[in-house]
Amino acid sequence: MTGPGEELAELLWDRGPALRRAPPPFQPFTCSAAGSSRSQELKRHASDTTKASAFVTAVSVPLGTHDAGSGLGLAGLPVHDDDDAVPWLHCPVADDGDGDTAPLPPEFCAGLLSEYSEVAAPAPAFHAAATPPAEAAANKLAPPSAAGGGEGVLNFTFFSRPLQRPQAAAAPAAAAASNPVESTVVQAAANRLRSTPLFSEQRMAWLQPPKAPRTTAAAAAPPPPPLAPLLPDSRHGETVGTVAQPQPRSQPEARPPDAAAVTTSSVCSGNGGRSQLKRSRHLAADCSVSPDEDLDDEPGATRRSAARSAKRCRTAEVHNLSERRRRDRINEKMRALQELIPNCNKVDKSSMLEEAIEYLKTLQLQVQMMSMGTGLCMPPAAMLLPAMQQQLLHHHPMAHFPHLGMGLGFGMGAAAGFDMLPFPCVAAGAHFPCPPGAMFGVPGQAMPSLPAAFAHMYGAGSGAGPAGQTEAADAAAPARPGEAEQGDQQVQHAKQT
Amino acid sequence: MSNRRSRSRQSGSSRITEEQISDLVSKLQDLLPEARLQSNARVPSARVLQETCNYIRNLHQEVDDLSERLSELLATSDMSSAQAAVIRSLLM
Repeated sequence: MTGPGEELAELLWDRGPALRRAPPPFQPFTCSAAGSSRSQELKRHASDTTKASAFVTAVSVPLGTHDAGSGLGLAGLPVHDDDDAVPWLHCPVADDGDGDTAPLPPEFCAGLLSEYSEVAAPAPAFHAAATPPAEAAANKLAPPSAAGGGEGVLNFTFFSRPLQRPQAAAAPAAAAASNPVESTVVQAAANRLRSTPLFSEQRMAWLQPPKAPRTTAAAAAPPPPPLAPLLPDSRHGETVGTVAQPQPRSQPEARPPDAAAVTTSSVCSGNGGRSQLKRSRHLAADCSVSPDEDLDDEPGATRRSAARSAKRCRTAEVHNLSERRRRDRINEKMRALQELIPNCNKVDKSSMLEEAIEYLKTLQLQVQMMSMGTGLCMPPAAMLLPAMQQQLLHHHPMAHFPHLGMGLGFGMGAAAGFDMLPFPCVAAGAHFPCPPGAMFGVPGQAMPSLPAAFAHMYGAGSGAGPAGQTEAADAAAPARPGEAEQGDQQVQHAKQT
Repeated sequence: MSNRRSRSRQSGSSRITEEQISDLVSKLQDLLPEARLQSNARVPSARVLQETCNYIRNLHQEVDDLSERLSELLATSDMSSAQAAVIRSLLM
């Protein structure tokens, strides 16, 4: 363990040369394997993200190597214009390897943080060194924090990193910055698989590389808690307020206290008074802290509205479905009906229904006629239709037993007390198989045209006529043929239709 | 937008036929015997159509029975030629 101050100074003053040094092969994993603990390296990267936006994007690539588990990040590295950041990144790793775990004095940390938070704080020594271009300055700022090597310092860099990240104000930078948060959380939280659906794949990818160094991460975890209280003081007031806020968020996840402290602090710094980039914070929070956090923010709102619209869609869908089912049922019945109707080749429903109505009427008429015919000609009285029964109520016995002798008919009629009925054929009734036409004379006038056919029938049947017809029968007689013709026509018409 | 408008127009035109059809279905319902449907209650069209189908089948069956009986009658009974003609016309 070397003194942190010396190391820092050395680094600081080496900064310039380091930047201009020929870029050594960047191998983050080999570096970490060389001696520095994994967590430190991670933290270094995290601290790197606190730099200016351009630098942040550059740093995101090494982080990508961590996340994706290698090749990808290395390949993507040269893409960034800040190539000088790469050599610099490499250097602190070596430093970490030399003398790490040297706790920095809190004051130093405070200064560092205050500077990160852009509070007008007395700049430390390396501030002076940070004169060159903005990039260089940013780069120089980082080395001390990373080179501090001590977990405490590194943790502070954690804190400061997300704070600076919003300043970066670049979407990719924000995304990249959220990665370090996640990676550190993953390490510190000891390989907890959280179920945030959004980033689960990424998280899985991240979980694989850090597995080996997790033990070191666990070792490195303890320092943060004592330092955490210091952090808000060193910052401006806003952060103090925000510190408490995220804690309950991370607490429900029931992570070990140390890990919780780490993550919460990182989130705190993420809040860090930099409200300008809420979105980036959301990103970080989403992937690092908890899935339920987004319930009270924009993503949650959109999700809720999406759920509402989805519900609306579902009800509409159900309605459409039921409506369609109803229509299908009707169409099916229509087809069945069409099959029942002979010669119905109508296409549209309404004309088909009209046809069905006409056919139904015709069928009813036909059945009526036939039943009357059978009823008149055959004994079963039940075949008579109601209308005809009403019409022929008084002639019931005669009508229903046309082939029986008049004696029976008379007997029944007499028994029924049909005194109004003329029974001129009582005497001669036995001669006629059918009731005399006179019987239909009176009712025949009131009869509908349909039964008139049968009146004609009977009229024809009893063509000879009874010898003693009453006046009523006589009066009805002239009307009979016309009625009969009419009824006949009706019957014919019914058959044709 | 245009899709929605076209759909609404389509539904508007189909509503007319829908009304026509419901009108015809109610007419059909009037033709059905009371026992089949409670005419007071609002009966769904599909049910009316179903009952119509059943009723038509019943009527067909009845016609078959009656014609059979009539033909029997025609064959056996000693009726007049006019009667026979009427029955024959019914059997046609």
